[in-house]
Amino acid sequence: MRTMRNLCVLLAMLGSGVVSGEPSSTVVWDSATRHLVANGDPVNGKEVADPCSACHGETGKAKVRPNFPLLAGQTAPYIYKQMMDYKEARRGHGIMQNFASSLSKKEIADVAAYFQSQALPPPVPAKVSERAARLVDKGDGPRLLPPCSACHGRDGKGAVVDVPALAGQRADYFIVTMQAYKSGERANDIYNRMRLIAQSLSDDEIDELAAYYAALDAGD
Amino acid sequence: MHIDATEKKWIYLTFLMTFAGIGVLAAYAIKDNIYPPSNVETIDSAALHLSDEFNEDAIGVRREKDGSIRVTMVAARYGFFPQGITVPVDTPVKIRIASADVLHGIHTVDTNFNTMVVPGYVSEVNTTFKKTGTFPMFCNEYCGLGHDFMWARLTVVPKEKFKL
Ligand code: HEC
Ligand code: HEC
Ligand SMILES: [Cu+2]
Repeated sequence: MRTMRNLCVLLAMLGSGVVSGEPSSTVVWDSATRHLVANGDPVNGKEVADPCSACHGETGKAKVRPNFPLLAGQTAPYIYKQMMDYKEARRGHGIMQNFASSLSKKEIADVAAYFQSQALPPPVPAKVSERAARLVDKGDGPRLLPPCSACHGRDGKGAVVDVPALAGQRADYFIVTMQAYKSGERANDIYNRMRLIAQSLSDDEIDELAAYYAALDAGD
Repeated sequence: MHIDATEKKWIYLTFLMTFAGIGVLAAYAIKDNIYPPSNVETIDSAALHLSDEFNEDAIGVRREKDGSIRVTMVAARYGFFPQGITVPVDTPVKIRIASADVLHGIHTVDTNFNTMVVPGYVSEVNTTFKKTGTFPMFCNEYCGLGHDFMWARLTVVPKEKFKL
């Protein structure tokens, strides 16, 4: 009986091993994909974005509900990658997976170009903690934490290829998604890059970083 | 042609010094097993995370049938993955590492583990770590703003303490 149970556990573990053997994302930044995203058509993208407005707002900055991310000013390659990750169930979220699945790669590139072209809302003033500013500018060597700005940009506007903009991002969504990286619930970052960073941050630090970026004025 | 005797002496001395210098380098290279990493093998860096050898589940340390150790690593801005590896002392280790983005390097002081990690190529180093302890592995090719933070931990443990 016990051996049977052990066998079942073993088989279940092997089974889950197959699932974890899947890559965190299947997006490859080869020249065809770069070309597709760089040439996204924001005019068509505005039409594709029509059903998105109910939640993200027409220009990607509505605050319909708590934890809905800001899309205005987000980089197109990052939006493209997230939509592909939802589409292929690398990033889980029922609603977004449905929306992404209904779009072609071309439509995704267009809608990404559209949201990228939208201006950010004005920053949310907040008291910026010194600790957050230090993590952003200097990182923390002993914890193997590079400064956030090394990847996300000094102005928080993201960087090549698919590093997201954080400037102006809603604090509540920021915290939810960082906690999801930390717990592994969000696992679409290749080689665990953001998961490892989120895991070495305390909950207080995450809250302070969220306030820091919500208040960051990226200018134009 | 007449060459002054003093001049001749200096010419001989220069040759002697040059060959002595090369000799010292060669002696050290042989004694410490230093050689240029000469593995030429190409790979698609953009799709590294989908490759058979360097996908996220394949990287890390494993033991080969002959008892030697194989380490598979990825360098990507700004870290090495996995961030820490543990290997047994006095055991042949084959380290294979590839870049997912730009040019990196990897170097552990006091060992001959030192190679460039060029995007599009697989770097391979065969070595044996002779000292136990924890050592940093640094990126030694400037790769961007987070370069200073790009390092990982190498832990060398006694053979009997090594577990996979
Ligand atoms: C019913 C509400 C809803 C609709 C409609 C909707 N979204 Fe979303 N979207 C969300 C929520 C909630 C999240 C955060 C999900 C998560 O945490 O993974 C999200 C996340 C995203 C993200 C990831 C943002 C980031 O910073 O990582 C992108 C990109 C996105 N949506 C684009 C779209 C596009 C394009 C459409 C229209 C085709 C759309 N969404 C329609 C609710 C919605
Ligand atoms: C090594 C580069 C790197 C560093 C350093 C880094 N990030 Fe990231 N970050 C990324 C990448 C790449 C992604 C997108 C991953 C994905 O596709 O899910 C990301 C995603 C994020 C997201 C999700 C954005 C969204 O819209 O959903 C947040 C929030 C974030 N990072 C915050 C931070 C903070 C805070 C720091 C500093 C403590 C930091 N990051 C440091 C590379 C980095
Ligand atoms: Cu580097």
